[in-house]
Amino acid sequence: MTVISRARDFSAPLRARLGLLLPGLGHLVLGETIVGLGLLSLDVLLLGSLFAGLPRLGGVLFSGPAGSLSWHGVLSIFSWIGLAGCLWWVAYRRAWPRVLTEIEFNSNRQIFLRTLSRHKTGMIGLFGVAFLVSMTLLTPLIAPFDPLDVDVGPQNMGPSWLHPMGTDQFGRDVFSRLLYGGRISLPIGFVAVFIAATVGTTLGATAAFLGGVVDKAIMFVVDALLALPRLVLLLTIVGLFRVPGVWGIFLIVVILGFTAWMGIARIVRGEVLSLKEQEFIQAARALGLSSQRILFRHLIPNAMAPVIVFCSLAIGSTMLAEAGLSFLGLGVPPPTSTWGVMVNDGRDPLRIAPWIAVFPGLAIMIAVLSFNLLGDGLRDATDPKLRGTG
Amino acid sequence: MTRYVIRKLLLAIPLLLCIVTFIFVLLELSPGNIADKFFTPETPPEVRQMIVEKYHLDDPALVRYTYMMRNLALLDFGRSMDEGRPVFEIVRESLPNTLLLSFTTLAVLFPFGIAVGTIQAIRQNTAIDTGASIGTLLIYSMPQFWVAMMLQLLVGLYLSGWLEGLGDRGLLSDELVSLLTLPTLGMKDAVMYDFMDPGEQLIDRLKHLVLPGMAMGLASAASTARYMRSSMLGIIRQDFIRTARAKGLPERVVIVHHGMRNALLPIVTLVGLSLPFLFSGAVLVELVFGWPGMGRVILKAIYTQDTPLLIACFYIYTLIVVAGNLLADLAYAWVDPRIRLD
Repeated sequence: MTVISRARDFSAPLRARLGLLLPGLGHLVLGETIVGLGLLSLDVLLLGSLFAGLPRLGGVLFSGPAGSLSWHGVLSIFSWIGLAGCLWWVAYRRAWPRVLTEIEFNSNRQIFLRTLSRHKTGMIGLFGVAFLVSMTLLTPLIAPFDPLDVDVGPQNMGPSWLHPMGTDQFGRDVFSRLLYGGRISLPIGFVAVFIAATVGTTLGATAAFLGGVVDKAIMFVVDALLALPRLVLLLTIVGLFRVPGVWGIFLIVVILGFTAWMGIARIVRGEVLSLKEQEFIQAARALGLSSQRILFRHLIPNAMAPVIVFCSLAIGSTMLAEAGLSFLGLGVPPPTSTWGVMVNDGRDPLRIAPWIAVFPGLAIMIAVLSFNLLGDGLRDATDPKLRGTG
Repeated sequence: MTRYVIRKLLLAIPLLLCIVTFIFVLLELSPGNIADKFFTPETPPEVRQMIVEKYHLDDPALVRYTYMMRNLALLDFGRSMDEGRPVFEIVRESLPNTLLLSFTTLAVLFPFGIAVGTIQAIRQNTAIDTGASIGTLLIYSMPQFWVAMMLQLLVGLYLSGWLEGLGDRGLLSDELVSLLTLPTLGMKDAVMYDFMDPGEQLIDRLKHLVLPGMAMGLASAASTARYMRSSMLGIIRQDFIRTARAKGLPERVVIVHHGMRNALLPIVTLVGLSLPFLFSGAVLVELVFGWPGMGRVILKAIYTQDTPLLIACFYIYTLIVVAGNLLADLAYAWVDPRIRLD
């Protein structure tokens, strides 16, 4: 019997086991600087939240009304354990790499992972996103103060050890507010883009699959909506639909989602149009599969790669749009404050206390930048033409 | 060419219809009675009656829809609820300011972005290219309102303070200091403008344009540079560039006449596509810099719940964007004769 698959084994040198001491060290000594530094930054987050959170663990866990168990606290502790597990698992895998068969080695998945891990800026983006998401999840452990507590320090005080990003005009801690603001800003981006991806994929695939009048109509609407300035459209809708209170957040998310699907619809349509002429679809038809099954099981999954890339870029622009709305005071209603609201808070005292506006703006920039870099990396890693050039 | 222009013009009509329908649907779907959206509780009953009759607010939806279409086509937006004067007047006062800001930005920063992208492509993988790539990516990721505020802070506070310091030490003449100190608010000097001679007025206007223009256009310029770089990289690897070099043409002619001319084609469309982006940014930047433009009007319409004004603003914005896209399409056909054939 012939051997159809040889094993590929990349045994790591002994020094890679340094990573088990502190994830990232192993990568660093092997010369993988970006991954190493990225993992180390996550280590800092992990250990920082441990030292900041342990002394206050009771307060974090039982911060609900009347000292009841708060699910924010519980979630943050589970996230801490999960993040630690992920970090040490990555370090372990680097020290004892998996033995791959030749077939596995040449699989699309492995090629994608290899290309992405060699893409420098893409990896920076990936670790940026990982850092932000971890930070959001660990917020109750890290944040030294309650974001809404006034007069935790002097008013308009510059950055110091106690208040790393200073305090604002009500004596609130900017650092804590920033951390809690990220808990709103980031999920809004994710959920809105998820809505956009769902709507866009469905409509784009329908247009391409049915063709004819349906295609023309859907694409016409796409073109019309693409021509509108997004922020003006958002402003008009928010102005017309005044929804008070917490439902305001849902409205914002839904509107952000429904103003971002057009690009995705175009991409999916293009992909499905080219896919549906291919042999495997003919085979599916010959097997007598229903149109629905062909569309959802065969066409759409194969068209997803560029959608994921687009989504990463769209999260960035959606966060910018949300920040713009919040800045105008039309986004998430108070007392919740997103990064956009915080920049607006810093507008009046800009000259005497610039840190109030500078840090949330930097946070928005870093988040958007991370998603943009990740999107570029994903695009290069999923595009067969660019493989190996990363 | 004429046929192409006519076809493009005709295609804009269903687009506008689509947008008007969209506004109507939004208005219908928004909570509350339609008729109540057009006046405040203080509106006297007889005025209320007149408005209802004029805009057919009590009629069935289809009738209202046709009247709305007619009114929007004739640019009759009714009266602002808050200010009590025709919306058209308010728009006529503020629209030129926004257009001035947007198009100056477009005219100055687009060529800048194109130049940066071209230089990056020629010097691919050098320190200049990497530095510019990082710079454009950073600028592209910054929120515009934050850029506006940072410009106010850096230029208005630190730079002007530094310049004054230089002036005090006699290193710069006072005229030069006052010329280089950029104002961070408004469109013209609030007090002195009327007492200036025309030359000074022009300088004052230009000085007020610099910071808002930068805040608005830097992101667009950065994305232009990114597109231009990749477009130019695609072009300069092609055979006709090699041919041009082989003929012994000077490098400048090869790059400008053969390279950039072709690389610019997709950028023309980008100018049209970036109009919506530019106007979105204008809303935020106008607020930060106190620029009396459309952005301020639409925000006021939202804060004071002024429905007619809000609809008018939205409609005007879309009109301009549609017109801009149309112009970009025509410009594209003009610079690239191949496009007219299909």
